Amino acid sequence: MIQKVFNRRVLITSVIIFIIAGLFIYRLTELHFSEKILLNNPFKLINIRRGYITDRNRNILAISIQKESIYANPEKIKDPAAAAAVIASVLGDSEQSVLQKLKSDKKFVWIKRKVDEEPAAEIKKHKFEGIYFKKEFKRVYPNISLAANILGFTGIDNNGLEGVEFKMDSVLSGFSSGDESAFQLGDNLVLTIDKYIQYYAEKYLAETVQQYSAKQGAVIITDPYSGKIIAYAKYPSYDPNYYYKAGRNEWRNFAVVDAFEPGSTMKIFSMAALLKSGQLDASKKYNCTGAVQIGDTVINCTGVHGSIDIMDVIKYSCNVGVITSMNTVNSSILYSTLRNFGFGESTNSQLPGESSGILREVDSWSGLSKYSISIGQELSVTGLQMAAAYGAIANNGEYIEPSIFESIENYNHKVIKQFDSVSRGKIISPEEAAFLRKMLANVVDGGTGKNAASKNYVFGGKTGTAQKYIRSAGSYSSSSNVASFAGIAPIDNPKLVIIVIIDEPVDVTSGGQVAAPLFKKIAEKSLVYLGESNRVLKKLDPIDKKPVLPALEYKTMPDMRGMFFADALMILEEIQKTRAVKYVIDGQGIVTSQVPSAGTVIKNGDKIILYTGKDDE
Amino acid sequence: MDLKNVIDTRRKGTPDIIMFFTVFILIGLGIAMSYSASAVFAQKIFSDSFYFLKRQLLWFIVSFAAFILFQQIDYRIYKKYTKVLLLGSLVMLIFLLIPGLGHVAKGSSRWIRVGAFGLQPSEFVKIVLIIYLAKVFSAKKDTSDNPLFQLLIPVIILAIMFLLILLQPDFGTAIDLLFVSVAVLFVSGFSLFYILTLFILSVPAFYLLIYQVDYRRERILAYLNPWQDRYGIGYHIVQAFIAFKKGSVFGAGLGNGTQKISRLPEPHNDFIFAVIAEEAGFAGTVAVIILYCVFFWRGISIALNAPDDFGRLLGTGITLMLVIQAFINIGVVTGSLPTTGIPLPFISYGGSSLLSSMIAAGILLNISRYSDVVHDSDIYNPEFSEVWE
Repeated sequence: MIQKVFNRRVLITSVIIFIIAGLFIYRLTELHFSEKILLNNPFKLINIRRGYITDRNRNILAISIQKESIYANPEKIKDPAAAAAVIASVLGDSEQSVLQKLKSDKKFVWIKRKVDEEPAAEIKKHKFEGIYFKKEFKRVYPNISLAANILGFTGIDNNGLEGVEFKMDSVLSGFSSGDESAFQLGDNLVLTIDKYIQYYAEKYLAETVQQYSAKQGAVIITDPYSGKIIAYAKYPSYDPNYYYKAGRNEWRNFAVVDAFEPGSTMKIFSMAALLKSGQLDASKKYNCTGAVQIGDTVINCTGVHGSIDIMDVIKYSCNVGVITSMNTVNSSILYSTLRNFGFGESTNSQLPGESSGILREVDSWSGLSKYSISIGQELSVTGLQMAAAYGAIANNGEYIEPSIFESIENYNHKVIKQFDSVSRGKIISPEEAAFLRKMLANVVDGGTGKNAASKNYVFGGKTGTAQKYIRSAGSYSSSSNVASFAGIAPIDNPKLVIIVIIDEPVDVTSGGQVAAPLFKKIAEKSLVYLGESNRVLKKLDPIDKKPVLPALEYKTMPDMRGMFFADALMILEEIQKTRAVKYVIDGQGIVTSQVPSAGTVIKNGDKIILYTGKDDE
Repeated sequence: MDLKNVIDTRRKGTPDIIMFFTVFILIGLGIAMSYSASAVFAQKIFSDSFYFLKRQLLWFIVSFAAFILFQQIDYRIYKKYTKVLLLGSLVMLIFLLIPGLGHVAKGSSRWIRVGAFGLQPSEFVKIVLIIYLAKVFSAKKDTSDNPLFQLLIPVIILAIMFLLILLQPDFGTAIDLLFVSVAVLFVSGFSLFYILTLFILSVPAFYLLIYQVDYRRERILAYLNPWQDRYGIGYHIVQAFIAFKKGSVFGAGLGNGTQKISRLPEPHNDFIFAVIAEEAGFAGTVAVIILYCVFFWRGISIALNAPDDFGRLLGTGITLMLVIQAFINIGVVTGSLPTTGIPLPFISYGGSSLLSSMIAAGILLNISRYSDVVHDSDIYNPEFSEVWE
């Protein structure tokens, strides 16, 4: 090695290294201080608009509207009593509490946050010294409680606290640096749910829960081919605009976060295991005398069914028949079949707090376990797991993970991420799936699910009536149970999977009586809405297709002041879906005034004009 | 091996004191930052916010012992064992790729489990390879040989190691290794013509290895426009950008960062620079760059003052290995390079990384002890006679 060459080349290397170090330092000044690095944006906003949430048809479910927040520096207020009197009367608050705030010894105190423009302007007129105003976005849920249990809600600082708002907080919330010179607007979220089907599900669910004085209820509707959750209704629900008036009981998505013992809705998966074992013999007769003994335990049946074939075992939900058939099924095959159908693990739906349910490993099964599990005991499942598992039967044996997110769009409505369906592959063959669907159709056709039968469509499904296991007593409760129905609509051409769970109905308690009729109502309405041809009317009248729902559509002009113009555009487009109106948005930024004013009835041919302030005052 | 040969008891100078302190400032910073970065994560996963701190301190003790040991071992001894070291490296790397033996974590098989701890052999293989290259290129050459022919065997060995590391897959380490090897080749005085020829010959291989592997291509595309895919691969980079922006001049203060909470991937590990950016601001990030520059400056001086060619090349190689690794990491976090996972030497959480970096620093310090005694006949030892020219 030549020393001179070495020295020279080391010098060259050193120069390169120091140049790179210099470039890094330059890059660091850019990253730490430049405003161009973060999304360069033409709109100057004081705080960051949280992205909106829509359903799959881009109907707004949650939106942000700019409001005025009033704060004070008590040190600078000369006459607190006079100021308090004015402020309290304008805001309709107690004078005492306002005065207390104005007299506190802090340098900063909120008087009221996110108030409407008019009262704020009224207070501004008085030009009180030491009283200041700051524009802040307020989260608004225009459909009130619709889809509340999916959406969740945000706190006063627009941070997601529950539901999708919580799960997708970093997507929706955007970012602002401390000095507000650099920011990124929150992105918009499109959900897979359908506002109208969601509405039907919630409406009829509420009726059923009230009718049977049940503790709570839930309905999950999915598209079996994509796993997309089209509706998730829960009752009791709440108004996310005033989420603090409700409590954990209303917020809690029990069909997602709590697992329950499903009972007979599981029997169809025992049949799948029977098929997998190659032991399903359609001609074999099972003799039901009303009870069966396994070891020391006697398991009662739902009735005395006599000698019936396997089709009728499911049709009449015969415990004895299912248990007897399990004699030919290996425990490990039953276990692996249930695992393949997604029981005992999360469905990865991305809904917050999803439970995995409990399906114990075969090693820890007792002699009784195989039989108990085959009729839906000794395991717990969630409503979502049920929906996904029935989805696999509807989808010719392919299991698709349920999902709630359709896409993410930027503030300019451009799609920046599309969520794709995640398949776990074929878990049973299409023929096996078709056979199971035949069994399910049979249940509705005069079996325990006959209350789900429709004149217009062919439905299939399975009822479930599970006694609740009372942990403190160590036994099953005789009075409280879970009535459920898991169905596919229509069964001859699956479009929707609908899971109905009614928790602790009173007096009338069976799944067939309580849950099946609710399934039928929701399924019929949803299929008509989706324009599915039915037996009576080969093709649906277009008027029938989109029934007008006054509660969900803008009959009168909404107050759009304070909305980010691109968000207001979404509302205008939503109005256009039902009314032939024209619109103009004058400028960019935040809407400051509108014609016609809020509350005016919108008629066909109306013209809506929105004016925006170019800058923030 | 006979310990008397290993522990060098002959006369030598004091180690480079600036280098010594630079390394310890970096490590101190690393322990503080990786604790701050990991506390929330550790609390969530292990219900113990000190989980990573405890482990890192334990590793520090082990690494410190290794550091002291290695700065005592005469660096020339490694020349005698290059074959054994290379063979050992090869065995370990192949071992990792055998399904069921290597410990798979985060989709790659980089670790060998030793009790509760994982060792990442590729961190040590890098040092072995530098020792090997330093030996080969410092040896007297038969000038009649075609230089390309002289390169043949080292290039084959390098290519095998590179591929084995790439297969784990550990792209960051493989690239670090490649850069260092080219640099050693360069400083050893090889004609630029041959180096360039080698480069051109390897272009098709790189095309296949990088652009044909889907996730690497995606990473490169995400690098070109992180905002386009800000919920996919671009997400980490965008979150890091936000950390920089939040950090501003002096940062939010130690422990006060928020990006590390579920927004940055493994904030205590590969993205620790972003945590420094948020909590210590521009002052902190520039300080880190300056510390690595000081390290580089001292490392290169040690190499320049080494008494023999082997020492010169070894010193240059080791210094560059650590500095290039640091620059790759900083390049990724600042969005200047495509995403690849590589720890920030001395600072990132991780036992193998700390141990191998400390061993490397120990070797460098050992070389520094001979800088003043180049012509001192006292240290002449026939055992190393081939070194003296």
